[in-house]
Order: sequence, then structure tokens, then C-alpha cells
Amino acid sequence: MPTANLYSKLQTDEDYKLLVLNGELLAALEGNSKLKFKAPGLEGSVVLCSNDKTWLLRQKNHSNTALIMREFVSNELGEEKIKLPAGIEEPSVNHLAYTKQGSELEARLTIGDIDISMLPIYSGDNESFKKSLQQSNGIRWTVEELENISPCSEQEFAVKWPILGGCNVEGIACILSQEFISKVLHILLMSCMAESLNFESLDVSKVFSALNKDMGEGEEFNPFSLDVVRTVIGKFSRVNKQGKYALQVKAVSQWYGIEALKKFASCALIPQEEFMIKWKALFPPYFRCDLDFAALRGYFYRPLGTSIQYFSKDALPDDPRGRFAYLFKLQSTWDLNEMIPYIEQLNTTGVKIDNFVMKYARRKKQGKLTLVSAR
Amino acid sequence: MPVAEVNVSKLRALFQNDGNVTVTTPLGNTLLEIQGDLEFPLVPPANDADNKFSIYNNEDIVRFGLLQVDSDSKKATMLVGEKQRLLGSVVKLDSPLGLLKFDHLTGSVDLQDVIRYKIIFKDRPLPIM
Amino acid sequence: DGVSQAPTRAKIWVKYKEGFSDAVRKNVTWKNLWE
Repeated sequence: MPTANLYSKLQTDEDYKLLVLNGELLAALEGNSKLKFKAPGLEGSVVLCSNDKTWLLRQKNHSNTALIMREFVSNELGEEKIKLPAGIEEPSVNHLAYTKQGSELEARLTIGDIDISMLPIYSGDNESFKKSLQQSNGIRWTVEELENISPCSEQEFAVKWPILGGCNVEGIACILSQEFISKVLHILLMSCMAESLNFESLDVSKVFSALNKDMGEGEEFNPFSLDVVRTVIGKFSRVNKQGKYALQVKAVSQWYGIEALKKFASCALIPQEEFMIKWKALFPPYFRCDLDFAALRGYFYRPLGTSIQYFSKDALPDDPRGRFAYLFKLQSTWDLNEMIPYIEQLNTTGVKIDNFVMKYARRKKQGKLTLVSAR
Repeated sequence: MPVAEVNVSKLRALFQNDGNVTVTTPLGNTLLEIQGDLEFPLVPPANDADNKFSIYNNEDIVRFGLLQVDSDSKKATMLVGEKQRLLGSVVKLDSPLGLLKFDHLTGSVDLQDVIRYKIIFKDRPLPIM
Repeated sequence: DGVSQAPTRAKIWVKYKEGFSDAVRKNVTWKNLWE
């Protein structure tokens, strides 16, 4: 059996760490993905990102001594004086322990996230945008800087950023206001129809020029920049491999539905049939899409059981008991399907939602409906 | 900016030898684990009786022991200092470990090796016979 | 200076630990990563 001499540096290197390469990370590496460490700041939690995935990094400390050793050859070593125990062969190789590890880094798959809470809002008016930037002294990021500090992979960022309404205006990462998005979407749909563009395969630059055809050149400020167009089209589309945008008509329909709820059902109740007519009327003329009322679940309730009223879940208490109580104060009996969007995020253990509601409410079958009321 | 790309240029070399049962990686690294602390003086003694201390690449190093690994039985024997004999074994890691080097000057991170086996000594040291 | 010191034997040994623990897992900050 060959023998190895074991050496150690007296001062071991501290610039090394061990990372557990789980199956997902190995697959990313074998797929030639880039890997990046990212953190929102010096004190923030580090994530590891491949091109399309994000992992939260955790350090697992252990009580063993783990030495990483490297083979080495040296003429300076006075090996002739080594006294070997009986029966041990003359060493044929030298290993030098150069770093000592008391921990391992583990990566746990998570969902990439962008924190937009600090970003300025852009509502289509450059002058007031610039003014508000001057007045506040918050930190301003470019979109690239924001991506670098976001615990989010490149691909996740590319998908999520427009969905959040994220945009580049004047070199600054900002969020488009709801009203501005509605305005741009409306004009964008009309312009695309006027130019007979194919909603299944849109090209940002063609949409941009369609939208700008009727705008005066240079005289008035034009808020429909290429960046704005890219954000709005990105928010309501899926990008295919060729970089073309396929409009998601369901997402457009839902957006108009929520707008209709805010507009016609904020202050007063409205019968559902009447609401459907108002909703239909909001779309640009000749824009064809189905109205799926179920897509508006989570944005309305039925105070008296039938007519609907707009309601945003932002207003709800965070604790489960408080939230159920609040919901039953709004409406004594709920169709479970209409209640789910308001409570599903409370179901952190992931039990079946029918069983989850039983913890806080009474459940009753009525034909195909499941009705939920207070206990 | 708290972002650092992991340089994986050595990757091809790291992956091509998968399945080959060697404790030492193709790039020459070996992971040795001991249940306990390995103790030795952090400065070389004035008169190094056993010639244990030397200098390699301008750094102090110490010869702390001898290692024998039987590649067939996966058993390992390590002699530490003058008095201890440890019996251990070669085990395949559940997940390979990536060896990362953090370069503070450039802020870059290098994946230097992928380690798939370790030699582990879990038992109480025995006297040298 | 001509004064010869008595040869000293360096103490090199493994201080065995009865158990193994790796229970602690914590998130890593950017500072930790570069420590």
C-alpha cells in the first residue's frame, strides 16, 4: 500500500468555501449555465442564480475538521530524516492541507424576487416625474443595477419585470402607474388592430411604430417610448424563442375587468349582468375577447349575496382568524371559489383548501357549490 | 455591487472523470475529514527535533502524519504525530462538493474543483503499535 | 549566540470529539460569503 506524507500549512487559507452541488446545480453547470452570487446589499441574504433559477444560500456549520489537500512536490523538504514506524512503506506522494473548512454552503431552490417598493412611479408625464425625482432623495437605480441587486435570475427577471409594470424612464428603473398602463394598453391594442398586426406574434419595434404613427413628431412630449411599449406588451404577453410576443388575451380581458370593477362597482353595488355589459364596453372597438367572470375572483364580493362590489385584498388583515372574520363581516356566506383568492396565501402548509377553511369556518355543500360561512 | 459571477472555466475537466473511483480528484485535491480537531503549534518551535517543520512557497508547513488508503477495501489508516493511529474509510459524498475560491482583490469567484469522495476518520484515535 | 537549546518535540495530535453536529443552518450575507 503506498504511503502519503501529510503536511498542513500552519496558517491555512481562508478564501475557500465548499458548495454542495445538488442535482439542480449540477444540471445547471452541465447545461453550461452561468452561476452568480447576488445579494441586495452587504447585510442582505445571498442567493445563487443560474440563467433561469434562483437558490437561497445557507451555511451549514459542522463540528468536524475538513481539510482540503493538494498533491505537491518539493525539493526543499528534508525527507531523508523522516523516521517511519515499522512496516510503513517509504512515502511516495506528498499532500498539503491548504484550507480547513468548518462549514458547507447549501443552495435551496426559491422563486426569484424583485423588490419594487423603493422604485418611483411613472404616470406618463416626464416633467412631473423629473420633478418628483429631484424632490425626493431616495436611491435611484438603472434597470441593470436593480437586476444586479435583485435576488432573481436573469430569465425570471425578464419575465417578472414587465409583469410588475417595471420600466426604464430617463435611465431610471421605475414602475408604470396602473392608469398609465391602462392608457397605453388601450392605444396599443387599437394601433395594432389598425395596422392589422398579428396578436399571436408581435414585434416590439413594429408595435412601437404602429403606436407612434399618429403622434406628432418632436412637438409634444410623447410618453409612448420604446421602453414603455416593451413593458406594456411584455406585461400582457408571452415571449417565444424567436423574441416575438404572443398577446395573452385572457390577461388583457382580466385587466379590463378589474378596471371595470374599479370604475363601476367601487362605490355602489352593481348587478352582475349589468356589470358584464359595462365590462364589454370598455374594450377598444372590434377587439375580440371572451369575458370570463371567474378571472375576476379576488377583486369583488357580494355584500347582499347577488350584486357585486369591487374589493381589493390589500385591505385584508394578515392573520388567518382576523381575515376570515373580516370576510364574513363583508359577506355572511361565500361561494368557496370566490373566497379562495382572498385566503389561499394563508394556507402555508399546503393542505387541500376545502379542509383549510374548516379550521376557521363552516363549510356546506349546496348542489355543485361549496358555501362557506362563519362558525 | 454585491454580485459575483462564478468562473467555471475548469468545468469540462471537472466533469469528464465522473464515475472514476479516485479519492484524489483529477486536479489533485483530496478531502480529509476528522471527527475532532487537528492540533499542532501555529509557529515552528525554535529547535525542531523531528524535522517536522519546513517552508514551502514561503509559507510554514508542518508534517503532521502519514496516510495509507487501500483502494480495494476503501479503508484508510492515518498516523498523526508520534502516538496516534486512526482508522477511517473512503466514502462517496451524497452530493459532490464544489470547491470555490474567493478572490478578494478582483471580487471574482472561481469553481476550482468538484469533490466526489472524502476520507473520513470518525473513530477515536488508537495508539500506534 | 552559541547557546544550544534542547530539542523540543512538537505536539501534534487529534483532539477527538465524541459527537458530530451540523444542526445549525443560517442564511448567508454578502459579508459572510467573503469572510
